[in-house]
Amino acid sequence: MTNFGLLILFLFFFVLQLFFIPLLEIKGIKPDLLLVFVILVGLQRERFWGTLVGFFVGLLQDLFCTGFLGVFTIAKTISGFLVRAFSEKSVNNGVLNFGGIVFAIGLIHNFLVDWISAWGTHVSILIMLFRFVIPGAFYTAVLAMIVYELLPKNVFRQYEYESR
Amino acid sequence: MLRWETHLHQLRDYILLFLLLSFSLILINLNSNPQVRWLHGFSLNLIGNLQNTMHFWGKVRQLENENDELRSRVADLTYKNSLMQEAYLSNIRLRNLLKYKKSSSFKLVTAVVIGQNYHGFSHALLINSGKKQGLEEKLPVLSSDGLVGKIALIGSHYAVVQPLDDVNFRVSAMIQRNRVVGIFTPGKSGKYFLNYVPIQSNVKKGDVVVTSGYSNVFPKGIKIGVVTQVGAAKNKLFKKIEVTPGVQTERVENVFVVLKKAR
Repeated sequence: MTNFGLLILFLFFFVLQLFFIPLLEIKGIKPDLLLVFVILVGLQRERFWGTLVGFFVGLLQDLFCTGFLGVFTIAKTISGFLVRAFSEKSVNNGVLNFGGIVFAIGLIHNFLVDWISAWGTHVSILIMLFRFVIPGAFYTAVLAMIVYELLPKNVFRQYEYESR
Repeated sequence: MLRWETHLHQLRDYILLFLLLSFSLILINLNSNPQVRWLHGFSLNLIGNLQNTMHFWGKVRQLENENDELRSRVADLTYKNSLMQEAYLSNIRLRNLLKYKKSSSFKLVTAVVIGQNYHGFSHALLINSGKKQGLEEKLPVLSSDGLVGKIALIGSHYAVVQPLDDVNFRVSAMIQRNRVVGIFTPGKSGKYFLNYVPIQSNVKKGDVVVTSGYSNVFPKGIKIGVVTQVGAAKNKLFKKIEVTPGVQTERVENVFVVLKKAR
């Protein structure tokens, strides 16, 4: 997918995340479409670009969210960096493979966000994991699999292959 | 030279990660910086305008639906009764709001909750009043049922409220009956507690909990909730007091912001 295509996809996901995703909230848990985008970029491009895009997407999410500035920036930068650790080659290995990668990265991302947000409080890590981190990652992975099925498959092809 | 460049190219991902994480950590530490807060407030205004527009169009659609329903009411007596009941309840709610505003000794600014944001243990409400309406950061936010929270972030026309159920919310509170003081905090799985109340204190189920006034943020005597359970904490030094707040923050629609100067 070209850079322009990714930009259009990002704008689409950003609008959905701001206005549509809040409607899908269940008991304080909602999926993170922007994390799906960061993972998509991380899988398509080199680790350098995954990290950089993760940083800017996180920064933008922080600016338009009501929590501490910098929380999503850290979580998405690390997520963008780690994506390649889960898949060295193409993402186009099927919906379950993609969902699994999103779930694994989502666990790390949600843990970082909730851990930093609850820093200095008496919230138990176990409660945090079972109440928010794991359900949130699962919800995001389910949404990612729906996105995978809905989007054309060339979106998931690595940029290097396409540009050859 | 070429070998060094190759080595550096391999390291660039880690160097980039280090630089970006350093920047992010600095950003977290700069959350109280006025310039950073201005930038956050500015972006908040942008999103507030968009959400307000959606809220407005949502209301217009709601009014259209209501109009259709009113037309069909003529033919449908059962539906008419349910609508009348709805109007009656709405009337009671608005009367309570008006009565509270008239009887309150505080100078109040009314606002409508136009958005909510949940993420993990964090919860925030977006209201449609800001600096232009005379609001400032850390002002208390109430409803006719009691304390809702405090203003955490402010834009020119919108503000973010940190409600009672946000994990970082704390307020000095006391039992109205005998002035026993503690710290009101949200606990795990939707419960709320009045902490640090000595074990020998006389606290009973049904006691009303109000703000103590021992802070610059919340005036004395604002109702927070009612004691629903009293026990001993694990350390046996303090009581474990469970409180049910008067306000259900996820359902609140209209709020009052208390301005600093009393009438």
